[in-house]
Amino acid sequence: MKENFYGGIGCSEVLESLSDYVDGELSAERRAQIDEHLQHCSNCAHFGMYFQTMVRSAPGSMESDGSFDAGVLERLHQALDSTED
Amino acid sequence: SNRRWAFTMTCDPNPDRALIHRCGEGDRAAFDALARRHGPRLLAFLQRLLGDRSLAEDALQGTFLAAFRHASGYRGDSARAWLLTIARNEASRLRAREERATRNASLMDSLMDLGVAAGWGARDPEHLVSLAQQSERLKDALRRLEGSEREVLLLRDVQQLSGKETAQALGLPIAAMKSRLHRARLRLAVELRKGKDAR
Repeated sequence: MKENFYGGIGCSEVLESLSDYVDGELSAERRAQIDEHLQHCSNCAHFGMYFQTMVRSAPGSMESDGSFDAGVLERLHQALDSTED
Repeated sequence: SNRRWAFTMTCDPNPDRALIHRCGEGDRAAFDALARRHGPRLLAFLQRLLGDRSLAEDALQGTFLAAFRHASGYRGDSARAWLLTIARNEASRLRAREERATRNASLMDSLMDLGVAAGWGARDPEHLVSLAQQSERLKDALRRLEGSEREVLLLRDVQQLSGKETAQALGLPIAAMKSRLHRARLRLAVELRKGKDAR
């Protein structure tokens, strides 16, 4: 796969910084370099969109309200009793 | 008195602090209240982390017992982060007991190879974006990751702890946590695509 250089950086550097980019943890200068690169490189722009969508979908997609029935609490009590003996 | 309790509940921005403090004094009602308040979400977290309901219940039990025992050491910061840290440690302990340590060969891949496998340069970018929005696909992909990859994703991206809190929960320096997180996200992207091909 051919690596492109735009904004003074190559695709591999963009790929390396993608999490920090999505999390807003880059310096303004580094962010500007990546923005510039993304404007010209469709491979990185498309992948960046996929990556960002995946990261931002995680809380809604993977959080769930684990059911918490009385049995769980009862077993907790039993365990607590046995450690207090 | 009840009035003083109501006052505390209204004004204390961290009502868990009082509960945990009472747990530290051996108060079982406070223990119940804490378990009811945080148990369901912790159980869901552990179930996702361990991929097994009964193992998750064992870990939940260990978590609350440890929390009860160590309640007097609680320093009053985020109770959720405190409990998630204990839960994560408990899950690690159980997993170490349950699993043989296997090192995934893909960890040895270079970042660029991993990126290509994850979809960099793929010819169907719109389809990849739509995959990333499908909850069941994401859950399946998460299940296929290694334990250390799942736990960093669950803490940072699903539970949305800060970077600092995630690093503390994992007992890692921030830079090491970030490196693990990035690789885990790329691995999740790889598995998300594989799911597409497998069906």
